[in-house]
Amino acid sequence: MEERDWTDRPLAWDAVIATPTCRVTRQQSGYQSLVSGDLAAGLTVLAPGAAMIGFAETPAGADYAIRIARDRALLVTQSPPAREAGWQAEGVALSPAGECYACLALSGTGAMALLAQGLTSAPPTGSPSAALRFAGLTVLVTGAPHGCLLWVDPASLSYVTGFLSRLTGGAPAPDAASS
Amino acid sequence: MSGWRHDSLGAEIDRDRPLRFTFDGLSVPGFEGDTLASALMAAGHRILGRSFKYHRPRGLWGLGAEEPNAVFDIRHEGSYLPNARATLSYAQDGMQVASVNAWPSARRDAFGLLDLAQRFLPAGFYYKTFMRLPWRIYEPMIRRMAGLGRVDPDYAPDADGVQISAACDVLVIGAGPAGLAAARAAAEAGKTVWLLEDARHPGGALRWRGGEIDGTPWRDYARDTSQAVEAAGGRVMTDTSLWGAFDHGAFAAWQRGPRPRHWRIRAARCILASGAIERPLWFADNDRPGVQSAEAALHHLALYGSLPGRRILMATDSDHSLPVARALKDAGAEVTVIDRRAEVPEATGLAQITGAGIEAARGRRGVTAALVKGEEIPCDTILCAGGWTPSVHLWCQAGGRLDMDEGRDMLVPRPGTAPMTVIGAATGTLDLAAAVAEGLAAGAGKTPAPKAPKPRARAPLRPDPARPGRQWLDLQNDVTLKDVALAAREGFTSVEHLKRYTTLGMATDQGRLSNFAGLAAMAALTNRSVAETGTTTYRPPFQPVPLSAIAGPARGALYHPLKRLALEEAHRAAGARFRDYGGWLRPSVYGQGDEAALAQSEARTARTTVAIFDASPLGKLEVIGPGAAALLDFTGYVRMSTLRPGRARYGFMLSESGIVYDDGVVLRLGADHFVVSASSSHVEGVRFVLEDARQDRIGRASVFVHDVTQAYVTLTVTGPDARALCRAAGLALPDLPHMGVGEIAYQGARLRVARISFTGDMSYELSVPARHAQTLRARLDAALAAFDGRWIGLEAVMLLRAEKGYVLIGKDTDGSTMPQDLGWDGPRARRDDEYLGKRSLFTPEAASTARRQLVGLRVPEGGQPIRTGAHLIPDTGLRRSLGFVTSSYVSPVLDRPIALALLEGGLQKIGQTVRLFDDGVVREAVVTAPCAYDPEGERLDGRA
Repeated sequence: MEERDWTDRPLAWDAVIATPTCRVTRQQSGYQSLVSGDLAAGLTVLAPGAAMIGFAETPAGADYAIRIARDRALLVTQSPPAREAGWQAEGVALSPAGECYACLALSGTGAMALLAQGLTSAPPTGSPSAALRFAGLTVLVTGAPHGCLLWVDPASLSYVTGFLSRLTGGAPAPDAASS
Repeated sequence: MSGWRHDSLGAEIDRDRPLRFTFDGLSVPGFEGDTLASALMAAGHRILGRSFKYHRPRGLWGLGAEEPNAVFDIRHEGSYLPNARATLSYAQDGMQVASVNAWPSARRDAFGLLDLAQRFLPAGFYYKTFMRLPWRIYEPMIRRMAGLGRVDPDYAPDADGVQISAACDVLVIGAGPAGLAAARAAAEAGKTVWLLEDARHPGGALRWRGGEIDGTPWRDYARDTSQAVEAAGGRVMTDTSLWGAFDHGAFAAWQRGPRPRHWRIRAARCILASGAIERPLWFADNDRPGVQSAEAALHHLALYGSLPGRRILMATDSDHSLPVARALKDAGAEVTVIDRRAEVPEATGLAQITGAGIEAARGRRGVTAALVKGEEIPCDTILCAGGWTPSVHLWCQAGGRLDMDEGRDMLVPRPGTAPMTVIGAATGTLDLAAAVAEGLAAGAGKTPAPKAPKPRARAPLRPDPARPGRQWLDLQNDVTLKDVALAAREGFTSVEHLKRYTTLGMATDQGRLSNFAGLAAMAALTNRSVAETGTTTYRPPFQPVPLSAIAGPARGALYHPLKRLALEEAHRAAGARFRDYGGWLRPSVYGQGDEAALAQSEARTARTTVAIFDASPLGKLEVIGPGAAALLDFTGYVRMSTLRPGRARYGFMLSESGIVYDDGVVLRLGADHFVVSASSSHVEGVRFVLEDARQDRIGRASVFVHDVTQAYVTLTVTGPDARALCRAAGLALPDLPHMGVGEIAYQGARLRVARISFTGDMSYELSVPARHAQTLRARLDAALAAFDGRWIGLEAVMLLRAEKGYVLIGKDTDGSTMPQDLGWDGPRARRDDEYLGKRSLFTPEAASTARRQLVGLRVPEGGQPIRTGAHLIPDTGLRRSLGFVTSSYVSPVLDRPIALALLEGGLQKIGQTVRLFDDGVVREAVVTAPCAYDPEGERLDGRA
């Protein structure tokens, strides 16, 4: 297939991919920062009160950190951390990450079943890391009150939109629920 | 036609729901519940296919995945499935079924005469013939005449295959009595159990033989087990082929049916209860239609009411198959048992010939008689009960080894060699009660006790080389005993050589029926035991699985997805045409018309006034921490610890073998804060190299690597008017030297400015957080018109950098290029500290002056451009490649072709004329320095 013919687009903010048991929509996130090193110390100074969450865990507060690896996390906060980027005296590396991840909300009883169709392995239980492979990409999966959030590279958002559309057998449509 | 349907038997068909399908164009009746095999048998069709090589007529042999002959291409309601086994495919109204490897039909195959030439087509004949003409002449003919099903190029299955990843505590493969018992025990122990069965219903052989499991009628036991499994959170899946066992407890299964699914299963424990396959018998022409597995005949009778014939001979050497003969007789067939044993218990009501075996089958298009003790006995069917071969394919796929159990005359799993527990017939336990006991023990987590040696009752059944005629060992691949003997004579006595030379056990059959016979025959021919002869490797898939099931949704744009720019829509609106550059979909040119001409025009503009291109895919790997400089010094060829904050430096990353892996610029933002600007296609690879060294050498607490490539958009403004354009766009550029780095405020965020040039002209790389990309683009775009500038695509950028002799790693380098070959010998000569790839740079080969080195090429005045890939050749002597052209363009500013090449000893040949072999034409060019334009770098500071 000639790549010039590709017409796929990332999921629009006002669009939905829907199945009888799951809806996929775009979700705004807060400020994103990559944090590495002594994560406990880092969270204390960068986002006091922010919890570290793993696979499919739902954060309690507005600020939280999604664990990517043993010593790395994506910090999501409502305002930018009050520190300069770079090395911190507490043994933490900080990089503002802007929209390093695009966020999709999968809501409904079929959210995890839909996710399982793209995961390389079965959805883990109680994994402290939110990172795993979905549709050939490394993604982050966190919990949400009615499903889960899928965090993907923004450059792969068109692909993930197409992938989810194919799984559900339908193209994105205007989101009636949000209008 | 000899098969028929019993009036009342057939537990799994619904006689109130008749159906019709076509087989090779003929209408075939059946009932709902029939398999294609049972319906065709009942309708009297005997020739269901043609053999792979000799196109001999072949009929139904088996009852499941082991069926070697009845392999069909099936069309139904717009779908097409090649290579489907008749025994596992359910008949449906309106189905169109075609035999494979036959034209126009299996009954009247035009290539059937090939069998007359069989003496000229022995094993491996294709290794010895077809030498005179080019292979491309022979190949299409051979492909037409041999093989199995055909792919229909016009059929594109929907990319809607569902793939699901799942996990369970215990995976039980096979829902026969042993598997059911294991699943039941595991479920009752509170485990999440997945019980997978290839057939339509659980029960295994009890479906047609009947019986009890653990004192309960098997149907009740199967039902209760399903309920217990599901109550414990597990699944029972029938019509599901577990086709692959992989490392770390991973399994692949294909669930057939109206909504097929492909499962990726990870299991904490696996219990293999895959049963055993009835072994054939070996006599002359044992491949004729009408020669079948005895167990398959009982299966088809009990489940579908189908009988293979009316005058049946059944050859056996055990009591196990006597119920088959009795059932067929009770159904109305005339049955004679040919028993190899001289003394046998009287089989009540059955005609018996003892102390004998079948010596040959008679009948060309189907069995008409059998030769027994030198006499021909008329019959239309020969049933073979040659013993049992444990189905160990999945065990072997998981790395399991096999032992020869001489007493049982079977290759059985060697305990402890694969992470599975094998139970029941799959491990040689044919006794029902013992198999169930093994299942219960395995399900409860106990390891089955080792089997007591069993004395051999009599000499094992084997193919007999002394017997006249052709004895088929591998029905699917047309391998005879004589083929194995030929392989032995020609020295192919290793089982792996035997397999390749004769094709024994290859293809979709995977040696289910043939491997044991082939190994036993080779063992006998070479005076070795079966254990000494060894076994071949079984590989996934266990049986054919549609590629659409394995591919799942990964089709079209989802097959090899490209990364997409944040500004893609804006580029499209500006008329950009896109291509794949290093895994990113990026503008190649802007506008309509000839792409090369557009690129020329864009490049000319960039040299004349100003141009902008989207450089966002360039890697932005932040290296942060006290150990950052040390990490970059070790992983880079050019030292970065001496770089001052606020400056950038070009460098290479080498592989451990000293080969150039990537190039790029490193920016130092602070004492312990760097940004590695890796090539667009190498970002992940460079990150892995940095991570490796970080964790293994520098120390994981002192330095960290963050990939923030996609958090930023980078727009590069290049050309003599670059600085003026940025300022016209309202950007308060800091006063930066070439390779200077700074930051300015931009809409509440920070905009990084780097004076880095990939074109040779003054350039500003402007990086902003992605959310500010649209406004930055709009500002720059609005300012372009005043400077007569334009957006340019990657084709123009490639041209501009080639004019300057700037390399593209992977295009202008190959798998042997070292930095000194690119003119970068300084660090190699001066650095005395360790760095990645260093030792490899000082081997004799690395020091050779005859290495292929990067040079430029200039064609004579008025000459045409040289093709990329053209080879440089010697002036005299044998023609060989001295190197090749890596990049070639027409320079719009120089108004002549330019080229870069890797040339043996190239740096010493600058100024000399060399010859090129350019698409069949020998041409000449002058070797130059790589840089063809502005060699002094005077344009880097732009317009004054």
